[in-house]
Amino acid sequence: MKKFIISLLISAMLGSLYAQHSTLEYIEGEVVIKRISGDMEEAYIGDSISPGDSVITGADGYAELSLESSSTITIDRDTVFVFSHREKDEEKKSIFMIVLGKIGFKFDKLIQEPDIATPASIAGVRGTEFTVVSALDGSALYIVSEGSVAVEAKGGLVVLESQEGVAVPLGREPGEKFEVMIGQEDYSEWIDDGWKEFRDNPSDVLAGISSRLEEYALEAEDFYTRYDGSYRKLKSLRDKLDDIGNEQGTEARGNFYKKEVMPLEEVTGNFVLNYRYYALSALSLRRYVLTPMYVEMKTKYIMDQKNEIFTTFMKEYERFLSIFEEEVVPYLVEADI
Amino acid sequence: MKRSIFLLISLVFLLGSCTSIYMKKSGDLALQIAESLNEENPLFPSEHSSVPFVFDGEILVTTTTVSALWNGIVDGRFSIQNPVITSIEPLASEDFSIFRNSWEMEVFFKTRIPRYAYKVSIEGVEADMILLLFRNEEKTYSVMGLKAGTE
Repeated sequence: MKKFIISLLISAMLGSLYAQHSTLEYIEGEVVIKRISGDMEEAYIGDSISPGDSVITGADGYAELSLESSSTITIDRDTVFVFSHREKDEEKKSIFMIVLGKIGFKFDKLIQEPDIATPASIAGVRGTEFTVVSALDGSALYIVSEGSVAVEAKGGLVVLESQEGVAVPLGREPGEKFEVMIGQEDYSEWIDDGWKEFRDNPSDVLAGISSRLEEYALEAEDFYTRYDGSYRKLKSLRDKLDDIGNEQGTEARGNFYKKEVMPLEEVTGNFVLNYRYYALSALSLRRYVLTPMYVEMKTKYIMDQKNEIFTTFMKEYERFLSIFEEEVVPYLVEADI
Repeated sequence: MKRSIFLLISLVFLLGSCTSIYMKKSGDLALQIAESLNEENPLFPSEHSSVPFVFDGEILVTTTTVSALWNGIVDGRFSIQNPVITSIEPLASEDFSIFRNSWEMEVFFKTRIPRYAYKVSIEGVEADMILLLFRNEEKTYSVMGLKAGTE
């Protein structure tokens, strides 16, 4: 029943969400779009990317997106980019999520400042040019070429100005700022370090990712509970609305709708937006971070499955999946798969 | 009346032969995949795989991850010596539990299985595998799933 209600709400919200979008201006190699509807499509120049869609590049892939505000986003190889939305401070806000890989942002005339999220951190931007890298171990790296970026994680805040960078390990505050010689950064080494860290400590790295998954699941549950309460209240207000219409006429009905029902409809919609945001962030971790980890470990130990490193990893893998199946799946719909 | 019965029987026979041909071709490709793994050649299975791809309980969405899978299997020294096909069956949505008994797999098998998809089970000396194959729009055959293990 919960899934049915979610499906209905998503369908109802699609129209308004699709109001904002970006366009693929250039692509190279393997670039796939996963639509909010669940369809997986090969990407073509000119394709629209709307809130809820993801852009995934392969080993030879590269994509450039333009936003309505004449800003650009460059998506490097082996990257998963999710164009999302959520409500924050009573405003619907765009969130550009880098689940894995490297993305460059160049924001010119921002209509509204988006948030930039990785599994480890969230950042606010002010008219700026910067790069974000998210590694397999969940750590993130921010490098600012121009402007200013405020990076937040686990209660810690670092404000980066031009030619400054910061690393954010998963589950920890941002580290110390460092100076960057723009044009001489080596992002591939950072990404390789994430893989190395995983290969050296597979179970520990996965345990960190599982903790992040738990946080997403808790947020999804919190917003769903708030949505549920709000929806019940909305239902009774709508019943009252019908009674007012029958007893006091159209004008009274209209006034009651504007004053009482409409604001609650918006609040209820925002709760949906938020619990879906957290549930889909959890799904991204499961699909784009856990899957390559599992492929790496299962194939490495395919002829030695009793190896202790593998069995320990598999225990954590099962723990991750049980959290996912019990605490996240209730907030997903078939189209998400 | 006789003519109608004859046409109906012919149609049933034709459909049956098509399915048999598709199953045989799926089996042929499955054996080629097994042989190429024995020859430590990950390229052949990579080139004959499609996305999304199921590996155990995981859904792989890029060809890069699928190539990493086949490379990893070869690097992990998985081989299936003296491969023998033990069964070829049309793939059914209930087959999801072979891979993982989860909601994700159930949905994947319910919504993503192409029309002519088959499950080929192969046994070797020390290992076995189940390959999911289908006849694609170009009328060639692709692998869309793998479950591999040792005995």
